Amino acid sequence: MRTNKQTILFVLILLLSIFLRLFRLDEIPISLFGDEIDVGYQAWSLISTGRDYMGHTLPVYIQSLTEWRAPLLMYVVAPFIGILGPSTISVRLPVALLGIANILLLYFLSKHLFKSGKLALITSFLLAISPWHIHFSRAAFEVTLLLTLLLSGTLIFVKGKHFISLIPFTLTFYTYSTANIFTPLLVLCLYLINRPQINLKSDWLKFFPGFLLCLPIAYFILAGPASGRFAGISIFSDQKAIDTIITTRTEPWVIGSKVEQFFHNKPLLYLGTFAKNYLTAFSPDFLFLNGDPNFRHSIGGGFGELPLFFAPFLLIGIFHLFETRDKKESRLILLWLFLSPLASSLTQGGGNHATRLFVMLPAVIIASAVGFVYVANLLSAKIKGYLLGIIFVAISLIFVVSYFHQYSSHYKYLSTKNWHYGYEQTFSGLSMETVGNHNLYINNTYEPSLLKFLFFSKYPPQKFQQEFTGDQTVTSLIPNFDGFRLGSNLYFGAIQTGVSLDDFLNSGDIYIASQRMEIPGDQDWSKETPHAFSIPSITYDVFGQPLFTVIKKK
Amino acid sequence: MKKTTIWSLAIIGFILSIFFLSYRLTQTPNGLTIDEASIGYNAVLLSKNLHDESGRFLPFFPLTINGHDWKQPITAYSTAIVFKIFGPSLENLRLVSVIVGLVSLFLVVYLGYQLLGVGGSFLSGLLFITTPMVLMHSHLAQENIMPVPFTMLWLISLFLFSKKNNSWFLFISGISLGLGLYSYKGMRAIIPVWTIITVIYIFLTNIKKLNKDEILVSFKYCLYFILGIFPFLAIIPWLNTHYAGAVFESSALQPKSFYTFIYPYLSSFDLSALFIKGDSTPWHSTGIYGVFLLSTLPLFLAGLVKATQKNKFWVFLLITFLVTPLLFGQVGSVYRFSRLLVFVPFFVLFSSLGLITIYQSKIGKFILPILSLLFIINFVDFTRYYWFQYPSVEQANFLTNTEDSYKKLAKIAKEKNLKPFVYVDNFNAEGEVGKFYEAAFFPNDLGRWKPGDKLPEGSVVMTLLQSQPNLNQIAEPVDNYYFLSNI
Repeated sequence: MRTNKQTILFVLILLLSIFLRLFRLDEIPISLFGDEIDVGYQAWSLISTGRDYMGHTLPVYIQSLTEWRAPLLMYVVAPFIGILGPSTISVRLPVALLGIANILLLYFLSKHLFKSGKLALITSFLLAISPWHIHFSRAAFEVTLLLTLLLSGTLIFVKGKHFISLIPFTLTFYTYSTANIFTPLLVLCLYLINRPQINLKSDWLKFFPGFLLCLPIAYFILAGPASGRFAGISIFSDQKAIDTIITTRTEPWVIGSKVEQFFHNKPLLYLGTFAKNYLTAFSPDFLFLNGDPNFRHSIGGGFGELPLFFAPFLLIGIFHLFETRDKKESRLILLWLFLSPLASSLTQGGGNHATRLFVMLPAVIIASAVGFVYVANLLSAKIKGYLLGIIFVAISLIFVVSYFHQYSSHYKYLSTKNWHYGYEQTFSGLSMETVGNHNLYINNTYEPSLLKFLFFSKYPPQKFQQEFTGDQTVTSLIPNFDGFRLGSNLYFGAIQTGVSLDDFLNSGDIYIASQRMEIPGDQDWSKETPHAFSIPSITYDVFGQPLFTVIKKK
Repeated sequence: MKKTTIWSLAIIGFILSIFFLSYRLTQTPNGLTIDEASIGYNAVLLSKNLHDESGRFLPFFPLTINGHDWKQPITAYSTAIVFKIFGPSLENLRLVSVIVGLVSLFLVVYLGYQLLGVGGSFLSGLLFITTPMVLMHSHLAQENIMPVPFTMLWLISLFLFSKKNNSWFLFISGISLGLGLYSYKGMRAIIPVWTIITVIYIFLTNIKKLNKDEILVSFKYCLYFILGIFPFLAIIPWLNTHYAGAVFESSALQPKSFYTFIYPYLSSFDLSALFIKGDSTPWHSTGIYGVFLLSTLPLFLAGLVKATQKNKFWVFLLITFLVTPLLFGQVGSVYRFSRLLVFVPFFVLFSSLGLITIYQSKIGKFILPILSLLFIINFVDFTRYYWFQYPSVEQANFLTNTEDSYKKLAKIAKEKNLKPFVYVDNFNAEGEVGKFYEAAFFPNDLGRWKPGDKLPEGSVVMTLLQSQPNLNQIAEPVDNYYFLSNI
């Protein structure tokens, strides 16, 4: 009976999760942003040519226009693009499904660890309604896949299949860079906590798949471009910090003092920055009130990364886990919780970076669930269990409704700039066939437009691989135009200051102009079209102001 | 350890603390806040003629800054007493905070001794005196540090009651909270919460079975506490009619939204702010060191965990710590730890407990030297910065201290029997600082002068103007002020 009830509740939780992750997936967030488009176009390139769009065959680490990226998400998205074609839904759907899988995995993991169906249900429910997880399951962020792999690896490990668990754990290195630090620590913790019987003499062959998988990425991390990204964002490369040390040591009242080096040096400064980041990761401001200050990573409106009502349960849960720290499961969750912000804390601004801190989520959720169960057990003598459940679900549902209202009715529109709104509407109607032998100029100053154009206009990756020579802006690439060229007649950049479009364009040429760049103020050329042009289409922002205007010279 | 050794160490520690808290008292910070100047100004007036600047005779709340701000009676009158004994000056103005810091230290050590024994009392004292927020606020003649001794008295009385079961301690704890209410404006958002939690604590700790007799006994104990605090609450309606806005300002009991209610509360427990960034204003924080030293964080966390496993009084301390800023949403106090100096005693007790717990653990002897080293580096780094760099870095945020120039003007006037004047524009620009020093150093009139005015024969004027027709410099300038005379 109890099992049946739990199954029904779990199915309901899954249905809620599916709804929260799939409902209007292509509209909320309002459009694909640059990194998602990059994932989409790489995936399309991989599935259609077997190469990334820069031409590398089945790459172990993927080269994008601006940086090298971990490739696994692109490979995961590729079949969806192959089946559904390049579109918003085909890029986001696999991530949303992974998000739903995370809920399943966390359910089974917590059930296995704590031997409690009730706790597992609460854990999955808390993850299902957590804004942090909902949001990162609705856009093509790599960390959702990372979480799937970490949860799978941990579940497989604690179930005793230690060697098989190495496969998902190794794959995390191909997913997101925080795994390079967190995954080895997690595996070490799992090993030290569970002390599996491993006989190196007889079991060495079982390490082989994991070891083999490690080799290519190890090369890219240690010697190749994978380390470049970390070098760019780490606290150790923060020039501002070095400048602070120099300034402090050379202030007029201390200049020349040898003691200054003892107090103002790189190790102490890095330690301070690291500690600040680390503690900020646990701050109520980040977790419960305002979330990541980057508006693309959290939705504002007083919503943090987690519902506010989790806060007391999280605190109680951590205390309870400390109390029961002699148990393996408590130790694992505590270690997960306190080790997970390490990688992010080593990066600039990593203290409240929801993406880099995403690996905290399972531990935070399980700790909150432990806290809830602890409180429920305390109160169960006085209040009936089902009553507690009803109160909890009611509060949760009120939260979910208000969160989703903020998400779909306010955040969606307020965050248009963060999600690069307008490019899909502008480019999806365009193709090189419509341009013919004329030139197509695309403004590249509002945001880099190349990938957005390629993806939304469905520019074949194979053609791009053949034609692409570089995206560096060249001054006076052609007379009166700065930018770069793709193929023979596609230009990205902007006309030079003082040059009029009328003088620049030839008859039949198309120019995609950005408002306030080529078109001044809030002029709407679809209403007051200059006599030399026709306006095939115009894209408006959510406030009804022109954003991009497709201009054709008569 | 012998009693005499303990007492000797305690006395040496106390003397060192006096030096520590009062070192560079007037140089750090280098300047005054408007609150300091206005407290000083009104305290001088109260010490001389028992009136505040608005002319009220022995006011409950002195009205300061041209009728803009009510000051708390405890600060104003204790400063007035210090001025009466030692004479008015910036040093003596800030000495009040040093004394409050030292009294708090004594009480912290006493409670530490009661709760944790001799070792714990020394640790508590050490942690209290080395807390950045304590050092910074013993150098500010403001009201922020004032509630700490009352908080300690309240906690000590409650503890002694639970130990000795003497009802008078409850009465004293009530009085302590009542006095605390008028020690700092922010306490108006804290004392109601503490009152409720104290009543609950007294009630629950004295009831073993739910029968009529025990309930009545518990109520009786609660009544002792309530009797202690009642007069301080009963007087509020009268205060509201005589000192409009002095008690609660414009704070309404209803917050604008749940978010505005909860944000200040939760921000009070942000570890990154508590241990690294500190208060959000430059007067109350260096911006790069927290309210507490970062190296004490492990001690604090270990203490919090241990407190849950100890007796009821520790659990009471823990719960009180957690509910203290519950009403801070009413005053929109986000990341304003200067309003939460009452956190310090709790932090000190938890950290001392944490340190003892770590020391007694298996790895204690290994970890403790590392923690001690980090603590020393952290502490020395902070004090060096605070004493020697902070004054110049944050100078622009403080009003210029012109004490020396006013003192010199008074000295010249006295020695040479001249009538003192100050250039009216310079004086007005100094605002409260000028008023404070005028009241402090010029028992008789300090005249106002502006260029073009004719000075009476035998006058000296203090001005930022280097020269004036028919006036000669009669002394070296101080703080850019020139002393011109017509003799």
